[in-house]
Amino acid sequence: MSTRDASPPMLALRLLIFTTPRPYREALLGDLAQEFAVLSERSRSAAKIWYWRQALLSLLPLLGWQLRGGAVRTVLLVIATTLIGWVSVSLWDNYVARQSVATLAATENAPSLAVIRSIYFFLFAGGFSLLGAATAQWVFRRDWSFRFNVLVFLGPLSVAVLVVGVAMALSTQLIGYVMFRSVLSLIALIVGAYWAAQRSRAAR
Amino acid sequence: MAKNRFLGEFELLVMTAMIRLGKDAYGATIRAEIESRAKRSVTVGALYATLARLEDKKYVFSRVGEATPQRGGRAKRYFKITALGRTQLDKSVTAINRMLDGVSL
Repeated sequence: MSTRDASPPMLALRLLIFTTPRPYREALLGDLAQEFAVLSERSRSAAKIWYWRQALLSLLPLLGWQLRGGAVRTVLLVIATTLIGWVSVSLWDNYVARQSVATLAATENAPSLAVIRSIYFFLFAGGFSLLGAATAQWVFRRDWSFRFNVLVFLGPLSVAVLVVGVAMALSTQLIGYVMFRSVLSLIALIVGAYWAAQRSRAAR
Repeated sequence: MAKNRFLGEFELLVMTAMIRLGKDAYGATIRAEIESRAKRSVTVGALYATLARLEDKKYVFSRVGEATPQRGGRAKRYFKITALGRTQLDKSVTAINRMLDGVSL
């Protein structure tokens, strides 16, 4: 039998990789591979059906396990850090970005308004992004996969941020500005989640 | 408080299977043991979710074992029941036996 024939169904395998918490993933997939190899010697198609059945029937318990392992805590953390982040960004905006460009604008050889606006933009966007990425890194520091964090937590959060962004934009007419902030914050959160996944991988 | 908790039915099956298997208790053997003795179909996801919960409660502990080519180079994870786990198992079995005492099924 070729190696390819003895391999479990790729999609079912990926489904299990995605849903199984990392500390037990290797053992779970190894157990399935072991039983799959034995079944394959009798019938390849029966072994594939068995593997698919195991993967599909395992979905609910595995997702339940992942969510019970810290979803409520993570949701609370996301809400708390959103509030803290809002205050922090406002403080950064008022006392660092605006103060810096105000000081610059008050000097004798002040640059043009376009340059001042650009400096303000980079100071604001830079601080905003760094803060968002650091916060997401802290919230998602658990040993979960990057894809799981993005799909389960950042996916719904992205939709919520965009809905709020659109609502704010409609009321303030600042569509470009609000959408820019929404997209920037989502990029920062995704970068932070990726950063957390890389750190957790390096720590193992 | 762990001392007041009773084990669920599936937790009880998993822990007794582990005691039966002794040093050879890992996912695949525990599953096979339950399926052959209890005649109950067990998915690998349900089994590992239960094992993780029991490990969180400190009723079992695990250690990483050897990897074999048949397992695609993936290591086994052996499970062993702790003293606290045995106490909880004993309490649950005693409670069930007391309830069944004198009952004809």
